Amino acid sequence: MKNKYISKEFTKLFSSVKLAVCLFILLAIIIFLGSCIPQEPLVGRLALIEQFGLSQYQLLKSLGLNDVFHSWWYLGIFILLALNLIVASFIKVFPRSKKAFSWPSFLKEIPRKAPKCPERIPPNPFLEPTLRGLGGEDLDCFEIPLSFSISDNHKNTEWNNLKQKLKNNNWEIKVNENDNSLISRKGAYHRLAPSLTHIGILTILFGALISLLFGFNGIIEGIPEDRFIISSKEDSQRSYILVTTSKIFHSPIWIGKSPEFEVEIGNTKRENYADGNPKQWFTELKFFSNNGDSLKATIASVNDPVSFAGIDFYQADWNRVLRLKFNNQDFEIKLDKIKLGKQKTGEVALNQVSKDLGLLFLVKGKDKNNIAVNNTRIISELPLPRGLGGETNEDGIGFSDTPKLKLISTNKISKSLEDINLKPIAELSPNQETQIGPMKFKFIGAYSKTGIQYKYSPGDIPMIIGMIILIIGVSIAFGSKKTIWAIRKNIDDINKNDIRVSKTSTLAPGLSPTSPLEMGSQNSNKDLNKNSQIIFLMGQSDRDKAAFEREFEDLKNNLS
Amino acid sequence: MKLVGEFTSLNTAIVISLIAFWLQAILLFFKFEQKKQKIINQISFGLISLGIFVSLSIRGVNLERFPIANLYESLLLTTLGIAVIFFILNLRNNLDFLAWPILICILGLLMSAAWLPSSQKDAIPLIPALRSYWRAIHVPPLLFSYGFFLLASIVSIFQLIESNRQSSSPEALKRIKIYQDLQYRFIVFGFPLLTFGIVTGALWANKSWGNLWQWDPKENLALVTWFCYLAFIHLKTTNKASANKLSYIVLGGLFATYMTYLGINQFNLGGLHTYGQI
Repeated sequence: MKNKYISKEFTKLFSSVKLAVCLFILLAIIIFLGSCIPQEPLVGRLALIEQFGLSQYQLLKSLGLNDVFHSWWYLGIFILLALNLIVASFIKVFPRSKKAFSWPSFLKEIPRKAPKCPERIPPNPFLEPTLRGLGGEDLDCFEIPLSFSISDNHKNTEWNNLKQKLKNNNWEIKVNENDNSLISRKGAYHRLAPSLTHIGILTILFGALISLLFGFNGIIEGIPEDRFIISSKEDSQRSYILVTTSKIFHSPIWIGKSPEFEVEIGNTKRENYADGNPKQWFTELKFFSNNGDSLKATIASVNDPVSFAGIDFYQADWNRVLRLKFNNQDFEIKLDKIKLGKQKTGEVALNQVSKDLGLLFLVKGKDKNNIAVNNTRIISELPLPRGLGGETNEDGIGFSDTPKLKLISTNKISKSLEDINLKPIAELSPNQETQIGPMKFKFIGAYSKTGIQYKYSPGDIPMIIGMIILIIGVSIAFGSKKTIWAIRKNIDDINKNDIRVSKTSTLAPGLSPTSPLEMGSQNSNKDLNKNSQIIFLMGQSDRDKAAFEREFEDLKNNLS
Repeated sequence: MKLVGEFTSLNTAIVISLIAFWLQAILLFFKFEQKKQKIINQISFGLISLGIFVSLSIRGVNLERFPIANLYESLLLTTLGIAVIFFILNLRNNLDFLAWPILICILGLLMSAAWLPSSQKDAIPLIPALRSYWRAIHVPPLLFSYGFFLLASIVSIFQLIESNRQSSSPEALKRIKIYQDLQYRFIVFGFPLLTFGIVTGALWANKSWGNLWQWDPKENLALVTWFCYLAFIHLKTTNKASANKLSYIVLGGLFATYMTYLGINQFNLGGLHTYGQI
């Protein structure tokens, strides 16, 4: 008994539209906050500390606002919404879609009273609420019924005319066995919109769950001939130039397995526009088995990923880099990422903490191609990237074969290049080093470095299917389901005093218990004889009432 | 020469918007008959649409690409969307009363586009990530949805003003009903476009960045906008909120739309979608 009560209350709560709306608004606010506050996974911890200070950063962290989209409370709210969606779909939405194509009841009598709708119904326009008192149990509730009557002195003429007009306008028609009452409908499929939308979102969630359980992703960054093994754990047995293992990222509930192959970076190049801006980046990827057998070689570029063994590889980043050793510490400087200052110089700190020692890059034309340290300036013969005033070699892929680095000292710390007294110290080829006072400087080399993102996401297909269903669902929602009821009665069955000829209105202003039956202005009581019939029409649309009013009026004008 | 044509047609659109706006004032003052007002509006909005379309087309032909890559081009396309939406919907509906606020918005958008700094206006080559057919599929539906949401917000303001008058005259009640009906119709047209834009954006991101969803600020704010209008649709279709509350939600949705479209760059929220830095 208690379980039944709990189950009922759970169903009631989680199928509630109010809960859904509250969660939409709450999520909207949280996501808004998460967009306004820089997120740690995107900008890094240091950037947050720089922006907010350590104490405020700690406060943000304690509230989970430094990484909103991975915080437990955000995931909790999302799970609540998913529960709400699932329960509401099965309890409310899907059962209603069954009624989308069901026919309402025929009119048995000409209604004399406007069907009264309770204040807050229909609870959902896609739902078929019951309307009692019109001879049917399943008629829609009419907030503002459109209705009018015409006389048919030639018996079947107008009645047949009505049926023909409806057919011509693509209305589905159902006539009762005595051929004195009909129902016509259009756009019933629009009522499938909520179900399709919910199915779409549920399918997306299903796909996301599949990817969460089995999927993984990661990034490999390297220069030509770097080889990687993609694995869930570091592999200390292998040693390549930069990285031995590209460690995959996966969810805490991951039950998938790592792939069993190796990937090597082949040639990589940047294609430029005529003005030197990047047009496209290409990277050749070579796949090998664990035994070293070559399996496949292919080229990835931006917007054109490659696939191998179900894993997609994307061209995500591309840079020209300098690799240096400064006092035995490795440095890699991405030349394409350097931002130029007012004097067209770019700075890179070698001392991350105090930032009192760094490299100064000078734009070509101002001086030579330059790289400089604050006190000891280092000038390079390297062709710097476009934007820093440099050039690329003929095919646009990067550096010349014999890059050299010139070291030049100066006794003046100045931002003004003209003031600097440059004295050459040394010229370094790749892998050469030199000692400058207490500083040891080694030029390892200059390379084109590519960044390849990879992803295994088996849930993508269900997610894409879900997205397509979602688009269909929301797209058909803008239409409306329209219904027209018609009934004809012999004049003898109707009290003539109840019939009033309306000279002005084209649409009857709704029915009321006291108002007579409205007739078109071209009909008059005189025209009615004992062979006459009265045809009464009534229509309703769940949405887009204005368009339906026009359609109903056109129909009326064609008949009367 | 081509550049001259591009800016001439844009200037023509701006001048027509200005003339049309003042014509609205004259029409309101002298109470022209509805038919004449409609003809004037249709001609004005038709010419504005044509001017912007020609301007964008010349730019596209000149650059040999679909002309959506920076803020200038997107502002023009949004304005074109608003003008075309009004032109089409006004053919069969009586929306002339909306012409003057829409003209203010169109003027504002066109002037903003014209006054943008050259860094946001100049035709620059596309960065590798933008070199994709998805650009033509993903962007226009979003910009057109913004147009629908703007129209919905205008009628929401009308509805709030009318409701605050607390007039119980049949005309006032009829007007409120019309505003509510229009508000719903604009949103149910805009919402599928927004959904389509978000979904195609996710599909493009999957092809370009290797993820359907990255929790990038632009994606997040688009989701916030989607949630706002989703809340509206749920409340509207279940009759669970008053007309005023619904109007406030629509205005909240417009704020979210603004943040998604322009605020993200204006307030430097960063992320992967920083093509239109102001």
